[in-house]
Amino acid sequence: MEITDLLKQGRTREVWDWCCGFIDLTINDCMSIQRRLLMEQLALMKNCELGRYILNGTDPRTVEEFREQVPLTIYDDYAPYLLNQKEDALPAKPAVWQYTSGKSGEYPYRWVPVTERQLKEIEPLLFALAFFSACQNRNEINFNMHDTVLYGMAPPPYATGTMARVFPREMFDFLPPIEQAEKMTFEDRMLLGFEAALSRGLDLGFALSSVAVAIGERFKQQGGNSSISSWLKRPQAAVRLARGLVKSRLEHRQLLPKDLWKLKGLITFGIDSSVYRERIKEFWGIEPLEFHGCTEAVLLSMQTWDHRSLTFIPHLNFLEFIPGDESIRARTDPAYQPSTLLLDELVPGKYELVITSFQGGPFMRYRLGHLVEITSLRNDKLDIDIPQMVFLGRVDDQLDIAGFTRLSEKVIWQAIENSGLAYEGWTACKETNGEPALRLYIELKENGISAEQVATMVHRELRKLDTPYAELESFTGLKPLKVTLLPASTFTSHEEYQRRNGAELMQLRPPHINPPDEMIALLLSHSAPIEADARAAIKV
Amino acid sequence: MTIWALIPLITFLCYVALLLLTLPSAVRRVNRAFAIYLGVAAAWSFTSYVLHLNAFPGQALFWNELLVGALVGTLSTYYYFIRTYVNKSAGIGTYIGFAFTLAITAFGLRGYIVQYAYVIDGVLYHDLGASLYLIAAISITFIGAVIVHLIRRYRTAAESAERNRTLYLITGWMILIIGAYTNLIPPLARIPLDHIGSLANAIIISYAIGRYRLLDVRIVFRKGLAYSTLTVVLGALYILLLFTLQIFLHDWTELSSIALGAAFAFLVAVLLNPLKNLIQKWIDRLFYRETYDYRQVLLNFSHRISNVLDLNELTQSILDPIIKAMRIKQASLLFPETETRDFVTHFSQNSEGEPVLRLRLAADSPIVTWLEEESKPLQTELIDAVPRLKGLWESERNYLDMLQVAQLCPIMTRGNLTGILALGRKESEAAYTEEELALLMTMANEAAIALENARMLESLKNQRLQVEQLLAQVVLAQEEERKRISVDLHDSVAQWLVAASYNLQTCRHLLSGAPNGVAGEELTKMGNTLNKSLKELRRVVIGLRPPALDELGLTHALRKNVEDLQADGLEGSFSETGTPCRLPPSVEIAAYRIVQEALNNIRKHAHATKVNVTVRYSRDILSIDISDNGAGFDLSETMDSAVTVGHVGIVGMKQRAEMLGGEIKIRTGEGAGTTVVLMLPVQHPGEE
Repeated sequence: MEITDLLKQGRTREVWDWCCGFIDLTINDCMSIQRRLLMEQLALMKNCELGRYILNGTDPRTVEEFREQVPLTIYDDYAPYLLNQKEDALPAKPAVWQYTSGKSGEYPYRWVPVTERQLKEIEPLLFALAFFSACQNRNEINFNMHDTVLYGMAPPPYATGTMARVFPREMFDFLPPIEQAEKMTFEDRMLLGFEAALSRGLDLGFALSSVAVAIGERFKQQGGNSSISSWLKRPQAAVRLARGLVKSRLEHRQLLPKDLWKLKGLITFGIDSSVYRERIKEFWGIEPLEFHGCTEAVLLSMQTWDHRSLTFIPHLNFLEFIPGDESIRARTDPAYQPSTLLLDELVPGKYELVITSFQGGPFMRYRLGHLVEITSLRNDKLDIDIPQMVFLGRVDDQLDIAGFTRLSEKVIWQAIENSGLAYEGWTACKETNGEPALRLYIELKENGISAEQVATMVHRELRKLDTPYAELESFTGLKPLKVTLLPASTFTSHEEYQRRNGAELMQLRPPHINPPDEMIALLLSHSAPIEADARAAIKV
Repeated sequence: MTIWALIPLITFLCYVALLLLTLPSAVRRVNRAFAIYLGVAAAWSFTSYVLHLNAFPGQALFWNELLVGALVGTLSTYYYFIRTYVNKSAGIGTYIGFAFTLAITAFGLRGYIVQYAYVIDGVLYHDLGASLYLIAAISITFIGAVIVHLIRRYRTAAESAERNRTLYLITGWMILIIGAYTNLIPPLARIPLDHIGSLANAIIISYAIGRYRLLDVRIVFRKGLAYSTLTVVLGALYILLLFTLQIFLHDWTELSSIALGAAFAFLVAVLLNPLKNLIQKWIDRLFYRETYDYRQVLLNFSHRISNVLDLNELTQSILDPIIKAMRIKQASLLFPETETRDFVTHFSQNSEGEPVLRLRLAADSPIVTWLEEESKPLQTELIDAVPRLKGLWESERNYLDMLQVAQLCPIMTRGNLTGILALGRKESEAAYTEEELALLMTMANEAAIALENARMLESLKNQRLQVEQLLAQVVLAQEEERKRISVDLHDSVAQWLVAASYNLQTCRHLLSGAPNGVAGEELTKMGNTLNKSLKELRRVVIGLRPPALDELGLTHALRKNVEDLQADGLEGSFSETGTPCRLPPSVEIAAYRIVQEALNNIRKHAHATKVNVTVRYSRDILSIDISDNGAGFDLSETMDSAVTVGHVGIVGMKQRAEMLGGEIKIRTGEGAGTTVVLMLPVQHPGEE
């Protein structure tokens, strides 16, 4: 029996339980599932070369022994097997291989296998994402067969591409169809998708947050112009466009996606999801539903219909949590083995995530490098008895400022966003010459704003968002933010340069936090920058 | 009343009955849509009934206008029902239909639709004018849309049951449409053939609801349908009788009315129960077809199993009717293993007699936990839809798939899961209906106590067997130890005593010429003591393990025992029949010890003068009689006090015999002597 069969029969309650039922589990149920699936995974690992290598002669038989005996691992431990795709050495035969771009100095790609069973478990969770994104209450399924989906995620072999492939196509019609979309450039795919959506309508968006925002921005800039008119090929599209234009004109603004389509749901992915939340809502007329995942773990948690914190998924990975202070100590002292907590041992706070794959995946006590915050142990509003989280960023994407605070990518991004600056791109790093400083390289969309003004605005927002950052100034008088304004087209030039040199989609732009020195030099080489720091700005 | 009024009346009653049965489950969208359709269809039949009855002479036009509105409403609400049935939203078509219905009704009441209408002898004469073609054209759109939806549904249906459901709807709808379109043929338009079609549609839908869970209405549906049918039949009978009598009896008096009323009431009272049973049986047979009889067997199940204590027989009584009644391929009963607590197949049955693979569900399996906590059947096909079963291992899932298990029903005793009924797929590949599952659970609950009792009995038997085996091992070890001591005494102490005796003789020989008579006397005394010691030692050695038994066999050893009775002043006789042969050592030693114990009892307690021992050899049985002419004793008293007083001789004899599957019978009485009859089964070497 497939989910779509149940849907066709109108057995929506069973469909909901199948896909979304994990949110009804008690924490004890979750732990039973975690423990049991871990035992199954251990049996698989003990019988394969990779598993024996990681277990290193240990033979854990209980969860407690597992945590005591098996060391924490990083990708280096798996690289000899995964980079060469040694399938015979793995606990289960992979169905697909997916990758993520490695950080500089590491590997060009981190290849990760995904098993058939993992894919089978992911499919209902994709349904869950769709259902949660479009419902107001429990057990409410607001989709019909052949509802349309606009797909704005990275293609395979990126993990989001795998997800798109698993996405239930019997239920949803992708615009354009996945097979076709995978052969197209991102631009072409989106263009064709919009053309089709103008005729057929659009029910669900499944996109990177930045893409959802970019689309909205493009509408703002081009609304009603010839480029949109050129999409007019069918009468339905004309009617839709006319209706949208009327609606936008009545509200005295540019045409936005929400004028053309009344989306049932919008699923977004990316650390910037919460940063862009309001803008996405403004453009698409609907609150986006976030999920947290990565190439190694696929899916870790997702929001529910309150669109607040994310609920952990208990049956895809065994979850361990290194408390924040332990995590920092382990990074400064590589020999130190930090202790971990399990899902039912958590208290609100910051943690580094450690996963062990289930269903034949390859990872065991693997440090994802994700810093999450446990916001509460349950969602009282929706009666979900599973700890709630938000993703803060990568552990190594934290900028330690004078030991007072650790600024994450998300906080800096949010501060820039909240400042109201229109920007093209940014990157930040820590400078340690003399006083500790946070150097922000930013390219603005508008002229006429000085680096000092930018520093003032962002500094003010950082103070609001991060109390220790504010205290740093109060206690020491230190204002660590320094801003370098990058001239117009810096990021575009950089992308062009990267593209010419064969960089992957995800590597076109520099990372937001701690880009390598060479990359900063490259960025600055595109043109002469303008510098200012927050202290000078405040003096002004 | 005319027959033409009777048809819409029956149809109306049917629709009302269906509506009443559907309303409690109208929480579901599709059921609600169906209820709306039933309500409007009932209104259509009712207006037709009133019209054909000519209940309000002079108002035929008004009722005909209502009838037209209700007819259009029936089509549009049916269209809405089908939209929900195929999981579509109401859609603009539904709203157009509703609007059209209201418009037709409103225009009709204003006199724009029906030109004229009157009823003569129950036959309707009317003219819809040009609006007839408008109504027909719009109706065709709805009819076509319904057919398209249903055919699409039929094509995409994954299950055969689903296709059947849809096929019934298509059939019913076609009949209704044919009936409705007789209104376009002037001679036929006067008679309510459309209601015959409508009635047929209602009946077909009712059947589909009961047989194929069309709308998943409650199980009471079948019962309700029986009572509704009963009401309709009795109502129709009543009306028919009145109608007939009206024709023949023109001069009604008050007395005759009362008498006839009383007669009808009596008739109804007499007919009610048999008619209800008949209709219920007919409906059950209609719904369950050939499995009806087995269902009856299932329902009588509790009565049948109440006296069965044998586990094999009991499981047979459970699995056999289930396989036949449900028409399933196989069924198994799982019970927990004592050591692991895993649930393992103990009994299984296949419809074609093929072997069934053993199923094992680990004690910590989420399935076991779920069954225990939920106490309801688990459909294995929907395991993924149960969040708590996410912890199931792949091997466990594959195992269930491989064994083709479709349902797992818990068997609960006092809140604990004591067994699991694992059912295979149906031969028709159809899904289990809710009623079947309810029936299974009823059976499982009723079987639980019986199974528990039977399992306890089985467990006791096993325990007893274990105790007996343990006892046999103890006896065997005892015999081995006796044998070892006997050999040791014979080979050491006995040899030393013999050597001492020889040495004594040598001393006596050396002293034979000496004058010291005192030393000679002492040597003689010492010799006597040594001889007595040797004799006693020989007796002990023989008692521990008679060498004759091992070397010469049972007959010889027993004969020697009887001969030894003379030393105690008893006259013993020994006889044998059959062909003496060597028996398995366990049998020989057991027989020897029992006879030995019996002879000891005679020596000590019987005050007998004569003892007779007879050994009978036959192919399968060794039989030994030991009888004496002694005082006899009260057997029951002796047995009762055996354990408390510590006289366990007779009990030990019985246990020894029973360990080998044999028995001991004792015939005795005060002053009547005693006869002990021992019978032991004989298994010759090489036999199984």
